[in-house]
Amino acid sequence: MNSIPDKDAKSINHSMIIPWWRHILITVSGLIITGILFYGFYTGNRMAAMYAPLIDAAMEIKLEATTAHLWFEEILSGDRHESMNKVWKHLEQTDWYMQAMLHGGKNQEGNFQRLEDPELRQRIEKLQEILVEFKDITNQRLVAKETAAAGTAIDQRYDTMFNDFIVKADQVEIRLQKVMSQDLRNFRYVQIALIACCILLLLVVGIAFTRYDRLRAQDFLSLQKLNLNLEKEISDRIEVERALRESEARYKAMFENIDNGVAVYESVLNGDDFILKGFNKAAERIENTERESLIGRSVLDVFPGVKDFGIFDVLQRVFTTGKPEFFPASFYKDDKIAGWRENYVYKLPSGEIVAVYSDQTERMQAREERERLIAELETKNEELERFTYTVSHDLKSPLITIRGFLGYLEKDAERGNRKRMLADMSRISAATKKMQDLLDELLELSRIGRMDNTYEEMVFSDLAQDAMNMVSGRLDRSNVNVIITSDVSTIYGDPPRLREIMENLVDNAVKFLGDQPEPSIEIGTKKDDSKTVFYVRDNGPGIEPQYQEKIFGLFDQLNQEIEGTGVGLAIVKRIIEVHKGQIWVESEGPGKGSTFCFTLPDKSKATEKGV
Amino acid sequence: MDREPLNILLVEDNPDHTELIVRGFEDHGVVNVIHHVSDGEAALNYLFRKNEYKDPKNSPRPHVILLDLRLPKIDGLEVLNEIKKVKDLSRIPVVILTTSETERDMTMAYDNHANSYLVKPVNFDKFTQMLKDLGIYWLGWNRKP
Repeated sequence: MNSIPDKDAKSINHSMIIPWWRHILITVSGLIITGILFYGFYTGNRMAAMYAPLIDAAMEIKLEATTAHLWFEEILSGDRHESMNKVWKHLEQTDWYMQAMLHGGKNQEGNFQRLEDPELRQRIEKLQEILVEFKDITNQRLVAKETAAAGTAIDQRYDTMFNDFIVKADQVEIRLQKVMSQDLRNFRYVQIALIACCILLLLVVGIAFTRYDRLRAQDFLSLQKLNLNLEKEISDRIEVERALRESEARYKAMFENIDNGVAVYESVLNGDDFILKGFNKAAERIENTERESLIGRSVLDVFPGVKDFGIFDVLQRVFTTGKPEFFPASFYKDDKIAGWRENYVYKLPSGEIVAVYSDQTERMQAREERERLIAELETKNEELERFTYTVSHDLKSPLITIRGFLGYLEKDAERGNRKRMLADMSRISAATKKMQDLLDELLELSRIGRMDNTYEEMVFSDLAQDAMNMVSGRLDRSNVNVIITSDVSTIYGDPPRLREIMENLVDNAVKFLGDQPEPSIEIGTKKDDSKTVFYVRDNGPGIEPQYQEKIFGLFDQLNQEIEGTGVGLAIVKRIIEVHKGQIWVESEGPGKGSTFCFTLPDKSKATEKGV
Repeated sequence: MDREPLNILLVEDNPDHTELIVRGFEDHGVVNVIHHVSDGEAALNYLFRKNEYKDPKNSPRPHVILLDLRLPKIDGLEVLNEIKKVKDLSRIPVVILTTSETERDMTMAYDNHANSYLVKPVNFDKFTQMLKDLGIYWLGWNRKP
C-alpha cells in the first residue's frame, strides 16, 4: 500500500484553497485603472474649462480696448455722435476681464478662473496700470479736444499708450498660450506615465494570472496523479481488507473450532489484574459455562481459584517478560469447577495475554488409576513371587523328609531295626499330613481374594462365640479359658471369612500359649480414635518386637516344633486386607502375652468405598 | 583322621531334616560332633557365645557351618552376614544347605560371602551321597584355619 507523498500533499493544499488574491488583484487593478482614467478625464476637462475662458478673456481685453479706442476716435472725429459713456463702458469691460483673470469671475461669456502663474499675473497687473494711465490720457485728450485742436502731443501720447497697451495685451495672450501649452504638455506626460502604470499593472496581473494558470495546470496534473494513487490505494485497501476479513474469518473459525480452550486476557493496573476478553467454544465446553457471563470480568472474579492454581503468577510473569510459558497439568478448584488443566501462556503483540489450555482431568485420572494399578500389580507380583518361592520351599521340604526317611526305612528294614522303622514311618506320615494341610490352606488362601460373598453387619461378640464353638474341641483339650467380653460393637464383612479370622486367631493363641499353667484367651473390642479395634489377647510367652511383623508372612513360624503350616496368620492377614482393614500384634515382650488387634471399615465407610 | 574332634554347627529349623542330616553323617562316619541349633537367633547366640552358649565348652568353634536360609526369628542370610562381619568367625567356612533353588537366594548368599551353596536333593541316594562328599571335602580335604 502506497502512502501519499509529501509533495502531492502540498499540491493539494495549494490547489484546493480559493485564490482570494485573484479577487483582490482584479479589484485593486480595476480601481487603479478607473482612477487613472477618471483623473485624465477630469484633468483634461478642468484644463479646457480653465484655459478657454482665459484665452477668451485675453482676446476680450484687446477687443474691448480696441472697441473703446475706435469709439473714442469716432467721437473725436465727430463721425459719430455717441456718448463717451460707451467708451468708458468698454474700458470698464477691459478692466473687468483683467480682474477676472486675476481673481476669477463670471459673466454671460463664461466662468473665469483665477490665474496662478505669477509672471502672467505680474504682466496683467502692469496692463491694469497701463489701462489706468490710458484712461487718464483718454480723458486728457477729450478735454484737450474740447478746448484746443487736435494733433497735439497728447494725441501722440495717447496713440503710444494705446499701442503699448495692445502690445502688452498681446504679450499676455502669448504668455497665457505658453502657460497653457506648458500645462498641457505636463498633463500629457502625466497621462503617458499613468498609461504606462496601467500597462505595467495589466502586465503584472497578466503574469500573475498566467503563473496561476500554470500552477493550476500543474495542480491538475498532480491531482490526477494523486487521484490515480488514491484509486490504486483504495483498491489495494479493499484487497487488503478482503484478505484481512478472510484471515480473520479463518482465525475466528480456528479460535472457535480448536479443541483446546483459549482465553484472552487484557491486563489492567499494569498486570495487577486481568480482564477476560475472549473465550472460545472449547473453553465454554471445558468449564461448562457461557462466555457472555464471563467476558469483561476480572480473572480473579471469573475463576476465583487461579491464585491457588498458580496460573495467576504465570500470567503476570508472561505479561512482564513477554516470554511464553508452559504451565504443566495442575489441579484447579473453585466453587463450581474442579479438574486438571494444562496451560500454554503467551503474550500477543497487542499486549494481551493468551492462555491456550486443555482439560487433562481424564488423562490425569487415568494416570492416577494406572499408577495405582501398577502399584497394586507390583504388590501382587511381589506377593506372588513370595508365594511361589515359599510354596516351592515349603512343599519341597516335607518331600525331602518323606523320601529321606523312605530311604532309611529301607535300610532299617535290611538291618531289622523295627523301632526306628516305626519312628521313620510316623515322620513320613506327619510330613504327608503337613503337605496335605499346606495344599488345603494354600487353596484356601488363593480363594480369599476371589470370593465375592455378600457382606453383613453382625454383633462382634456373637461372631466370636460362633468361632469358639467351631474350635471348642481344641480348646477343651488344651484346657484354655476363653472370655468373650460382650458388647454391642458390630463388625461388617463376609460372615464365613470373619469367622475364619476368629478361628485362626484363637487357634494361633491356643498353639502358642506354651506351658502357661492357667492359659486364658480374652476376646473383645476397644475404641481407638473412634475406630473399633477387635482383639484376641492371650497370656502366653508373647512375641518380641523384632518378630511382630514377621509372623504374618506366609510359612513364617517362630517355632517349627509347634504343629501348623505357618499359613494361618497369613490367611488372617489376607482376609483383613481383602476387607480393607489392618492387623497388627501388640506384646510387651517375652512372658507378657500377646494381643492380636485388627480393624475393619464399618458399614457406612465400606459401602461408600464400594467394597 | 585328626586327633582333634571335627565340629559341625548345623543351623536347621526342620527337625526331620536335622535327623536326616545327622543320620547321613553318622552313616559315613565323617563327623565327630554335630552341634544343632534350630533358628537364626540360636545360631548367633552359639557363635557369639551368648546366653546358654556363654561357656565355651558348650560352644566349641565349628570347623564348618551348615546353614539353612529360611529360619525362624533371624533369617539365614542375616546370620551369614553377621558371621562374615566378624574377623574371627568370617574364616569359618559357611556352607548354605537349603531347599531353595532360586537364583536370587544363591547370588545373595555368595554376595554375603557364603563359601558354598548346596541344594538339598529330593532323591535319597543323592542326598546321602551329597552329605558324604560334603563331609569328605569340607572336613577332609579342605584346610581349616
